[in-house]
Amino acid sequence: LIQLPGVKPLTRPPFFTEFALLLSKPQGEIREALARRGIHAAAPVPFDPHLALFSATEIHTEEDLLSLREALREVLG
Amino acid sequence: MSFPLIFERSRPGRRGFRPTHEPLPEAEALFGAEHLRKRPPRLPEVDELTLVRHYTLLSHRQAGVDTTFYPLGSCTMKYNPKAYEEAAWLFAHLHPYQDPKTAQGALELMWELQTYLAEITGMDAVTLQPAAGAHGELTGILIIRAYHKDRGEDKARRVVLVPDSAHGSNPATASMAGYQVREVASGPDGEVDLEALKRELGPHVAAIMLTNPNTLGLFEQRILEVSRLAHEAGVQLYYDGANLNAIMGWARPGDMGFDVVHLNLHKTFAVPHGGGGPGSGPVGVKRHLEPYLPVPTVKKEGEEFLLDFDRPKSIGRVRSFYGSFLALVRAWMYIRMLGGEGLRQSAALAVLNANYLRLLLKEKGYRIPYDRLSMHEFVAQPPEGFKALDIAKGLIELGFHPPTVYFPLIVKEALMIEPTETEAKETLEAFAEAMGELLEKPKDWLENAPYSTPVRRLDEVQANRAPKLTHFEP
Repeated sequence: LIQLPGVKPLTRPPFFTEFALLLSKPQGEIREALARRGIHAAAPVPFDPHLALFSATEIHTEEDLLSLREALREVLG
Repeated sequence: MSFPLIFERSRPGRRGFRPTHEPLPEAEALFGAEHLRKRPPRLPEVDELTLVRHYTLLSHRQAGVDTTFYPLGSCTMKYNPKAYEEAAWLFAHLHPYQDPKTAQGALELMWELQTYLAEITGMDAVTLQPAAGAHGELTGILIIRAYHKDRGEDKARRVVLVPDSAHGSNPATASMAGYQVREVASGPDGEVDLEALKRELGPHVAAIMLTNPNTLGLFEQRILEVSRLAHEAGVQLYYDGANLNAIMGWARPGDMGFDVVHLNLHKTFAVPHGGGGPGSGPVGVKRHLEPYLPVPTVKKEGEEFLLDFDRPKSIGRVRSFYGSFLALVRAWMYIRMLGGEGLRQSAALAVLNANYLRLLLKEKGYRIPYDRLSMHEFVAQPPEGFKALDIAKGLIELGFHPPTVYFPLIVKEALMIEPTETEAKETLEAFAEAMGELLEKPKDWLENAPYSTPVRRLDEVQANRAPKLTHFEP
């Protein structure tokens, strides 16, 4: 995800199952746009409306992760 | 009867089902060697059959409403219908952080439940956030504190009044919220003594916390007078909803003049208690206190349901997310399946059951200190020379969960009995028979009961003074 334009990591690795990203558009807008594409992601992070929390679990396949990347590319574009 | 811990059943290398999985990524490359633990976690190693037997047997060492009549006074241990569990599962895959537009059904359910609870209690607005009864109390008292502060009276109003029959959580709540607690004596009829109340009221008082019916199971018949006196003195009236089951559908705390109520969904609204919980303690308020409710509240704009965080006077959040959501689903189910008439009828049956059992126990030789028509519960005493504790332990041996004992504090050797509406007449009669049988038992039998339970009579003093909370490898 951090290879996408408009996405910056908030913290460096290592991390466990979730991580915060700084987005070029407000989190609420991104969460709503992703939800319309059938993906629930970009949870709110206090204090900065451009911060969003993402996570993956063991049930997500590589295809799921790649489709999140494509959806995020679209909604940030 | 010894029962080994799962760790004591563990044998090195013993395994159950071995799942197949894809090769795992190298943890060291992901996290760095410095973040990896040096030794694997100490987990029990058992085969599947040992595991199944261990937890199946543990599940049999229980008493609950599904196995036993459970007349624990002031706890409203009514049956929790299984259909509600199915309903709760329908919502199990929601996440509290997902876009509210994709969780409209959940928000609609919360909004409807707020509306129903407001109607049942006669209040204007409800928060579903508090996690249980005492948490609801704290939320309610913090709302009252914020109200007095807004009016510039918080420095003067430093006292919360509670009757001497109050639930212990009431003075604890007031104290937690930074108030001094003053006790108001009960009169000879078991109700709040109005003269005693008048002596305590004044500009130094922030609130009165009351339960109605009170913990003696008696309806406070002078409640309108209590309410008038409180409000004339600028004091807020707080309703502890622990005993709402007695009056649901018949009388509303809001109509009695209460300004704040909390409800125990895990009592009155058939949500499981404790281990089957979590609990849920919504708080309802009158209009003048609505601005202080915790954030977020659920509101409806047009056809859309929203989480409203924009409430500048709010006391803030009192719990993560929006309350014990699956408990809310079960309470919503309860209200919808019973309907208004059903709720009324359940309260009526709760009162009928309590009064029938009161008369049965009186016949068996138990004393009833406030012997009049009770509400959903009543307080009994064993005959002179018997201890409430021995009766309670003897009941366990005879297959019944004991009532609440030694509470309320104003009755010696109190047995506080609440049968609830979901028990059949035969169960009440069997319980009364058992209570009678206990009075015929030899003294030493009673003093040493129970006999056939996984553990016998516990040393409660040692359990409090020197509890063993840690397991060490043998």
